[in-house]
Amino acid sequence: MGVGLRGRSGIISLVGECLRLEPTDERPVIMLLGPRGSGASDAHGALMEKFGPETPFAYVNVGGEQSLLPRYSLALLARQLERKLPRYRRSHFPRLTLGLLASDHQLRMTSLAEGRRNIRRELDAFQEQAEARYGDYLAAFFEVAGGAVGAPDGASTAALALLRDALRRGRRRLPGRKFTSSAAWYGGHPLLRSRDPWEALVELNLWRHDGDEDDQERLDRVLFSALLEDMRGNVRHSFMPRSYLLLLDNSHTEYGRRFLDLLIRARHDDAVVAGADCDPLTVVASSNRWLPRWGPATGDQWPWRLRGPDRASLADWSEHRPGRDSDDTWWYPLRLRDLNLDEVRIRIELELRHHPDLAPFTRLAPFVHRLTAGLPRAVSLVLELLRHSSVPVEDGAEQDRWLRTLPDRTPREGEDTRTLAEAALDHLLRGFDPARRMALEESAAARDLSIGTRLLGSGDSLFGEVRDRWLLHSPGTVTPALHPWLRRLLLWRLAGRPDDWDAVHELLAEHFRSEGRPVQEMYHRLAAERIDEVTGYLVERFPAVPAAQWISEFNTITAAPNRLGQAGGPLELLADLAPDEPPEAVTTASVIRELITARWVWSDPLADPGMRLNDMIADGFNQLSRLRRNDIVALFNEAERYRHWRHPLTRAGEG
Amino acid sequence: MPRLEWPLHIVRRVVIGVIVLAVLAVAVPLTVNWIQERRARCGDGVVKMGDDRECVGVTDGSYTFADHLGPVEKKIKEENDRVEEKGAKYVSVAYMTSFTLTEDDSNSEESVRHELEGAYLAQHRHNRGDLSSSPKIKLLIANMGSSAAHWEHTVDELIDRKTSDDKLVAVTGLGPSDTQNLDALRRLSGNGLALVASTMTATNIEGIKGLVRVSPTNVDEAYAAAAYLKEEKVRRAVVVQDDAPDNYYAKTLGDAFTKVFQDIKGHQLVADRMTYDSSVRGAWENELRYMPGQLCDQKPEAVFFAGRGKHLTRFLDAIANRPCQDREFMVITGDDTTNLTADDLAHAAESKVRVLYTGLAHPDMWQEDPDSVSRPSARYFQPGGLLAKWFPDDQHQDGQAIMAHDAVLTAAQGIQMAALGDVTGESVARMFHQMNSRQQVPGASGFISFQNNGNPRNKAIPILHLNAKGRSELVEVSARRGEPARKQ
Repeated sequence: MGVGLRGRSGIISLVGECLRLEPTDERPVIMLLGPRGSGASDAHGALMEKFGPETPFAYVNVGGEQSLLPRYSLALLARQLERKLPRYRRSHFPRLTLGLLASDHQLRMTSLAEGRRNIRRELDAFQEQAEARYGDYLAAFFEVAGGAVGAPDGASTAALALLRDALRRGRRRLPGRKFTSSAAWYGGHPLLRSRDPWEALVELNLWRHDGDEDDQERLDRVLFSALLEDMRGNVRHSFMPRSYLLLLDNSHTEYGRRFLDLLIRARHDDAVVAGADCDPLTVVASSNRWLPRWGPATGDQWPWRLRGPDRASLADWSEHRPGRDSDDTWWYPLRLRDLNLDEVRIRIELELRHHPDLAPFTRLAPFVHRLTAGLPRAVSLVLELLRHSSVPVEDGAEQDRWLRTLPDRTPREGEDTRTLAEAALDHLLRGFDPARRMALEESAAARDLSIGTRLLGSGDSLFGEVRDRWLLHSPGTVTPALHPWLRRLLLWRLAGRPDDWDAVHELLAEHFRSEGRPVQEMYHRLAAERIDEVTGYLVERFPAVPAAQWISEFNTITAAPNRLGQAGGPLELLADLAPDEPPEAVTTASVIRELITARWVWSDPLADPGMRLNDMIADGFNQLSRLRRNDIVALFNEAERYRHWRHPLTRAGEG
Repeated sequence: MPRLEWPLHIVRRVVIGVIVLAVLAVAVPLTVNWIQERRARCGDGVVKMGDDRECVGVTDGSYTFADHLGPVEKKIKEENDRVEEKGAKYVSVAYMTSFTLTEDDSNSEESVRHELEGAYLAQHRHNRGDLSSSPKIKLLIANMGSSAAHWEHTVDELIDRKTSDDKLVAVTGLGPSDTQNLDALRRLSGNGLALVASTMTATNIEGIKGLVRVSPTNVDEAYAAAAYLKEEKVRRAVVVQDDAPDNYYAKTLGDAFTKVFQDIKGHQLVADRMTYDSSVRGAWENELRYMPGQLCDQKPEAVFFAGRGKHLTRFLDAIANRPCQDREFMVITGDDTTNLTADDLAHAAESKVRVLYTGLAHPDMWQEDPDSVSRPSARYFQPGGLLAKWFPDDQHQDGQAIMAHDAVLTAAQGIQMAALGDVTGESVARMFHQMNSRQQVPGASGFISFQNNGNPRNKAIPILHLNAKGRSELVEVSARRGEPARKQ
C-alpha cells in the first residue's frame, strides 16, 4: 500500500471487490469526499499503483486549468483503456470513436440526403487524416486535452510509470479498418430520431455544429451511452477484463460534475430504464466540494449519509443505497477522514525509506498530529518543511523554540517563498479572495464557525462555502467547527493583527456574556490574554461545582488560542505570563492561575511542541487536590493523566 | 459461449509451448533419424551397418568400398556416367560379392579386385568394345560386407534398383558358396532377377530359377583333379576336408574326389577323410597342425585338400614341418587357391611341397589349348592386353578376373538376346538357356553354354601348379569329361 493510502485500506478493498464483480453486476460510483489535501489524489495514485498493472484504467483530472468537455474526457478515457495488458486482449471502443468522429468536423452537405450519401466517405477520410497525423484517431485528442491526464498529486514513481505506459501504449490501428463499420448501433439508439445508421450519424453532426444546448447535451448522452455499450461489448468476450477502472480527479469542477451527471444518467438509462446489463465501469471520483445535484449541503434532502472509508464495502453499499429507481442509487459517498496518530507515525516511518534525513523527527509524530489534526497534505507539508530546514535535530528547548515559528517558515528553497501557513492556506482556500479570507480569519476565532460568521458580519455565504468545501471538522457534530489545521493557520494569521485579534475575541466574549455562556466567554477572554479575569472566574467556580465539571470548564477555557510572543520555548512563554508580583503564599488562586497559564501554553502545539509542561500541570492539579477537602479524586486523576500522558489517537482538540 | 478469464499471456505461452512441443515432437525424431541416416550413410545407396560400421550396399562407383578398389571403381563410374549421359537405352548389371574383407573371409582383396576389373572389362566390351551392342549396361557394385553378413540389406537395395532409373536386370558375381550367399541368391531369384555366379562352384547350388554359373562345379573340379592324378600314376591319396557346416565348397569337393578317385582298381584312399572345422575359431589351426604326423604314418602320395585357399596355406605350413621330412607329398586342391594373394602363394611355395590345384581359369589356357577358350576374350588377359594396360600393377594369374568377366559377359549377352523384347530379369534369365551352339558365350575361361540346372556344359578346367616363385603355372587344360567344350 502506498504512503498516500495509509488509513484508506477500505477503499482499496472496495475497488478490488468492484473489479472482481461479474461484468454485468451493478457497481457504485465511488465518491471520495473531503477537503483539499484530504488525500483523494493520493488515493488515486495508490489505486493506480495497486490495480494499474493488471486492470485497464484511465486517470482523468477534470480539475485542471483547462476546461475539459465531456467528449474530450471520453476520448482520453477510451484511449487509456485501450492499453494492451499482458493478461487481456486489447479493448476497442469503436462506437464511441465513431460518435466522436461523426461529431468532429462539420460535414459538407446541403441536405440530409446528401449528408447521408457522403458521410461514410467523409468519415473515412477524417479518420485517415487523423491517423496519418497522430497515428490513431483518439491520439489526436491528446494534442488538445493531454494536460488533463497529468498525474495525481503525490503519485508514486510506480504510479507515474504506469500512467506513462498507459499513454504511450495507445493503439496503432491497422490501416484499412474503419470505425464506420459500427454505425448500425446508432441506428437503434433511442435518443436519435433516425433509424438509419448514417442518418443518425448526420444527426449527431448537426447537433454538434448547428444544435442548441439541449442538442449538445443529447450528443454527450449518446457518446456516453456509446462508451458504456463498447465496454459491455468488450467484456462479453473471453480474455477481457471483468471491469474497467476510471479514476476521476477533482470531479467537483463544472466539467467534472457534468461528466458525472452524464455518466450516472447514461448508466441509469441503460441499466434501469432500458433494463439492459449494467456497464462494467468501476468509477472512483474525488470531490472537494458538496455536489449541487445532491441538494442542500446540509445533506438533509439527499438519501445518502456519508460513509467512512474504513468499512467501505459492496455489502455496505448494497445495504445503504437508495432504491434503484432513483439515480442516487449509483453513488457511494465516502468521507475521507484525517489520519490518526498511529497513521501519521507510520507515514513518517514509510517516508524514511525515501528520505532517511527524516529519521530524527520520528519522535515528532505526536507534535505533527496535534498540529495538523492528521490532514494528509498538512502532514506532508510539515514533514517536507522539517526535511528541508535547519531544524535542530536534538530534542530540547532549542528545537521547541524553532518549532514555535513553524508556520512562518518557508517550506522550499527556490522560487516559492511562501511560508508554510501561506502555502497551506492558499491550497486549502483556493478561490477565496483576500477579503473573504480575512473575514474567515476573524470568524475562525469562534469555535463555532456559524457564530463567528454571523457575529462578524461575513454572513451565511461564507459559512456555506466553507461547509461546501468539507472544511468543517467532524461533520455531523453539534458544533460546526473549522478543521483544526485550517483554524490554527487562520488564527496564526489573525495573531499577526493584534488589534483585530483582541477586538474579535472581545466581541465574541461579549456575545457569550450576553448569551449567558460564561465558559465560552472566558475562552475568548483568555485568548485576549485576560488571565486575571479568567483566574477569578475559575477560582470562584472551584468550590462551587463538582471537580469533574470544573475540570471540563477549565479544559474548554484553556484550549483558547493565543497570540503569545513568537520567541521562546514553553517555559519562557510561561515566564512571561507570570504575575507581575508573585504571591507570597500558595493559595487556590495562585495555583489556579498558574494552571491556567500552563494549560493554555500547553494546549498550543506550537507553544509546547514537546508537551514539556505536562509535569507542571500535573503538579498544579495535585496542589489543587490538596486545597480541596472533598471530591479530589477527579483532580488527582487529572494530575495522573498529565503525568503519564498518552496522546489520543484522533482527538486533536486537546493536546 | 462462456467467457474465458485465464490470463491471456499465460494462455499464449501455454499454447506456444504446446505448439513448440508438438513441432519438437515431430522435428526431433525426424532430425534424429536424419542425423542417424547421415551418420549411417556412406554414399548413395551405401550405409554403415553392423558393429564394425561396415559400408555395405550398392553403388555405381561413386562410393569406393575400399581404397584398393579406387582405380577400377573410378573407371566403372566413368563408364556408367557415360552411359547415362549418352541417353542411349540401358539396363544395369550388378556385380555382387564381399568387397570389404576381414580375416573371416575366404576371398582376398586381390581376388575381389581382380573380379571387379574383369567385370569392368566385360562392361567396356559390351558398351563400346568389340562386342558393342544395345541396350548398354551400367555396372553396379554391390557389397554384402565381410562374410556376406549384410546380404539382406544389399539384396533389398538391389531389388529396389529393379524399378529405379537403374533398371537392374541381372546380378553377377555372387561370392563364394556360403550359406549367406545362397540365401541371397534365393531372394534375388524370387524377385525375378537374372543371376550369373562367377566363382560359385558348390555342386548343390543348382536348380535356382534364373541362376547360371560360369564356373565348373566342385564335382567337375574333383573329377578333373582325380583324372589328373590317375594320369600321373598316383595310387595312394588321402582327403583333408573342412567340416564347417556352411562350407558347401569343401563338402562337395571332398565327396566327389572320394567317389571318383577309387573308381578304378589300384587307386585308393589310404585313410579316413581327415577333417578340421574352420567355423571353430582358434581350433582349426591346431587341427591342421596335428595332421602332418598322421600323414607321415599313412604315407599317401597325394593329399586332396578339400578346403578354402587360406586354410591351405596353414596346412602347407604344417606339412613343411612334418616329422617325415624325407617323404615328399603332392597336395592337390580346388579353385579357391586362386583367392590367395601373391604373398600367400609365395609363402605356400616356400613349404617345398608340390602344390597342384584345379583353377577356374588361367590366362595361359589360350596358349595351352587355343580352341578351349575364346581367342578375342582371352587376348585381353594376356600380358600387354587391355587389362594389363588399364591396371599395370596387377597380375591376373588367379583367373578371378576372367571368371568375373565371363559372368558379366554372360549377363550382357543375355541382355542383348532379350533386347528383341522387353529386357527384364526374367527375359534375360530365359536367354541363358538359349546360349547353345552359335549363341555360346565366348568366355576367356572357355566357351560357355548351360545345362538346365544352370551349370556350365563341360567347362574347361585348368590344372595349375604353384611354382617355387609362388606363381601358378598351367599344367594342363582338363574338363569333367576330359575334353573341354570347343568353339561351335
